[in-house]
Formats: sequence, structure tokens, C-alpha cells
Amino acid sequence: MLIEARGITKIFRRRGFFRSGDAADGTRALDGVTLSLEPGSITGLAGANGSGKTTLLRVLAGRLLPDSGTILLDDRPAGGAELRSAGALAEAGGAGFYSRLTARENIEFFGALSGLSRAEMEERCAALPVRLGLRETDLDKRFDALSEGAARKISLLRAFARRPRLLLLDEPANGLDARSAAAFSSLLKEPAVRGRAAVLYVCHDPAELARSCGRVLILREGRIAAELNGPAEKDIAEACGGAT
Amino acid sequence: MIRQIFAFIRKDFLVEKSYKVSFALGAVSTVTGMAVFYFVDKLFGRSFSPYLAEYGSGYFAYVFAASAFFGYIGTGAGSYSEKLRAEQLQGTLEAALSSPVRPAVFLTALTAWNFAFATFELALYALAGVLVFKLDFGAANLPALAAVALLSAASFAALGIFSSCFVLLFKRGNPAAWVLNNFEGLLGGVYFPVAVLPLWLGWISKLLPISYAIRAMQLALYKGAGFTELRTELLALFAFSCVLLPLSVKAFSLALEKARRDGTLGQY
Repeated sequence: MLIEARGITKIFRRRGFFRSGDAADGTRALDGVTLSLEPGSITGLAGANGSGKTTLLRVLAGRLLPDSGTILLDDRPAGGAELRSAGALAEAGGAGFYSRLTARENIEFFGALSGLSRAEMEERCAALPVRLGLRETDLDKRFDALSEGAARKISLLRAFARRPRLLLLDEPANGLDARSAAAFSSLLKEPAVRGRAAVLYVCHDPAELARSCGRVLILREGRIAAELNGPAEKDIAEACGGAT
Repeated sequence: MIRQIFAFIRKDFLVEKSYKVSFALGAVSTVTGMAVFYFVDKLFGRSFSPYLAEYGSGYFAYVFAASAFFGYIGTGAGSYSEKLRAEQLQGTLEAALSSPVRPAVFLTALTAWNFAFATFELALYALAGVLVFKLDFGAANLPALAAVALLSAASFAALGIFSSCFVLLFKRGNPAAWVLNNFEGLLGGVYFPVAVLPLWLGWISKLLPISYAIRAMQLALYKGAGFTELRTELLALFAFSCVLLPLSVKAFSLALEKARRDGTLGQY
């Protein structure tokens, strides 16, 4: 088992700097979430807006510290630093990129922060841009000149290029055209691309979750409400109560 | 670690270069700064003041060297909060800190470009001092100057890192930067020697690393003072660095952890 989260709770309190805040006064985004992810597996995560999906991804990526619960990485307790080292989160659109740099310069910069040389990044990214439907010219455009879809693809490229052990995808196909979304979906299923990474895949499309994921977790009000193994599209839709 | 620091330097250079007007104005401001000295020189000439006797230099030579040096070590005090705020506003702070990069390395990398540029500026000032203003740096004790610069930069970097903790937690409103901007120049002996200050202000100035930094730099530059003559100043700067630097990095780590716990790292 690569990663195991036990009883993860995250409450966003309304508080001042010196007041710890009252838990009852805040928003309980995650409420005792327990899950495990196997290397090489693709696990779907579905749920209505505000059910805690993004918060869970951010906790597992080490970006957000939980209030309680433990996370084990390879059976050892992992803190934020270990999680940031093991995981990569592809988030919405152009978040977290330098608008004045080109897409390529951004990829190289974040690769270097992960300890990768420019040559290593180029080798890792060699085939991916074309597969994702990016043009060579897109890579040399300034980031703020990219379309939303292209920015989303660069975000995926950044996450894939790190070859993380834990790949966290937050609605990765949002903003992609149908062909690019299909290309991404087929890319994700290729072991050569994702390696032995455990993938946690947030998506609002039951059909895509059924196609891509061996297992789907349904999150409701910060809790795992259902765990579906090898589910069909209608099982996911039903479990979500129409609000994927 | 080296790769991460160079990645920041390259990124900052590319970003700076992309703002062509600002980049050009930055270079021009170095020249206008020197023009100010030219007119100070015209006004005061090479007149000596009894307060400056121990440094063996006139007012112009004193203020020229102190201002250039203050500009250099001030990079540490101002750049951390400025760069951190810029990363917040661009929405890149959380992404950069989501990489496996340790806080101490991140802090070094964050301002590496600023220090590189400040070093270049300092070299330009030194060149102009010799070629344009005919200042005599012949007596300079270079090893002692290097030690003063290193320890001063470390002390000021620590103050800058403390200041960046406020930016991390409160985003805007930075009392540490306010204190640094308003009191270091006044009490540190940049524009006049500390001996000019009333006794009680002189005592306060002893609590600031800048006072030791400027005095040691002037003595090493114009009187050729070495490690023995400068031991009080060097020990004071060493003590400031040894105490403040680890404390400031620890404070930054704690502030970072609080921001990660509150989920405010990506906010601005």
C-alpha cells in the first residue's frame, strides 16, 4: 500500500490570529476520511460541490495540514514534507504559474524545484505535449497568452513530468475540448505514462469515472459515503444522487 | 539545492527582463543615485569633520561608501517580504512551496536574484567611486571587508526573513519593514556617523546591526582595519547572525505551518 489516510478531519475555523477558534463555528470540510491508495491504481473521487474533494486532494498533496488523523506513506507516518515530495497535484486552469514566463520556462522552473535538470524535463515531456494536443508553439507562448484549455494541459504536463508516486488530479478535463479530454483519458490509463503512481482522480462525469477507475469513492459532507469497485456509470450516478 | 536556487535566479531574471521599462528604469536609478553623490560632492567637497576623523575620510567619501553598502545589505532586509508578496499576488507562492523544497533553501532562492543584482550594483558604485569621484580605496582591507559584508548581509537577511513572516500571515501590514525602513537609516550611521547622535539615541543604535556594519565597513575601507581592529564590530555582527538567522528561519517555518494549517497560503 502506498498511501493510507486514517480519520482525516479538516475544519476551516473562523478565527483571529491569537484565537484558536471554535470548531462548531467553522466549516467541517473533511470529517474522519479514511482511504488507501495502491501503487499503479486509479481511484475516482466524486461528490457534489463543497463535499470536500479539493480539500482532500490538498491534504494528500501536503498543501494543507489536517486538524486530526494520520497519513501513512509506505506504512510510515508522513508529514507535509514527505507528502509534497511524493505527490503532485494538477489543479484548475492556470493556477500557480508565472504569467510572464513561457509555458516551457514554467515547466522547467517547477521541474528544477523538484530536482530535475532541463534535459530530464525535456526527456520526460518529450511525447506528452503532442499527446495532450499541445502545439510546439504553445510551449513557447507566454503563459498569460495561452487559452484556458492549453493552460490546463500545461498544468497536467507539470504534474506528469514530475513522475510522482501519488498523482492527484482535480477535474483535469475541465476546459478541455472533447478530443483533448479523450486523449487525456487514454493517456492516464497508460502505465508507461503514469508509471507506478497511485492516482486519485476527481471528476464530475460518471461515464469517465467508470471508464478510467477501478474504484470510485463518493464523498458527501466531508465523509466517504460509498466505495464502489469496478462500478458502472449508473452506479456512480446513483451513489452521487445526481450530484457528481 | 543549487539547482533550486539557480532556477529561482533564472526565473526572476526572465520575469524582470519581461518588464522592459522597469528593467531599464532600474538601471537608470543606479545612475541617478550616483548623480546625487556627484552634487553632494560639489556641495561638501572633500571637507573633513571632526566626527569623521577616526575613519580618515571626508563627508563625501563617508556617505558614498555607507549608502552603497547600505543599499547592498538592505537587499536582505527588504527583498524577502517584497518577493514573497509578489509571489502571493501572482498566485504562485503555494505552487512553489508545494515542491519538495525546504524553507531555508526556499528563502535563499527567493532573494538570490536580488542579491546577485545588488552585488553588480555595488561593483558599479565601487568603479564609479574610483573612476568618477576619484575616491581612494587603496588602503582597503579586502578580507576584512568581505567578512563585514557577509556578516552584515546575514544579519540583515534575518531581519528581512522576520519581516516576511508578517507577509505570510497578514499579507499586508508589515511592522517589521516599517521599523527597518524608518529607523535603520536614522540610527545606523548611514548618512552621518553615530557619534553625532545624542547619547541616548547612540545607545539605541548599539542594538542595531547596521551601526556595527557601517562602522566596520568604513574602517576596513578607508583605514585598512583588519580582523583585530574590527573584532568588536565583527563579533557583534557574528552574534546578531548566529542568533537572528536560525531564529528567523524557525519563525518562517512556523508561519508557513500556520498558513498551511489555516489554508491561507494561496491567499493574498
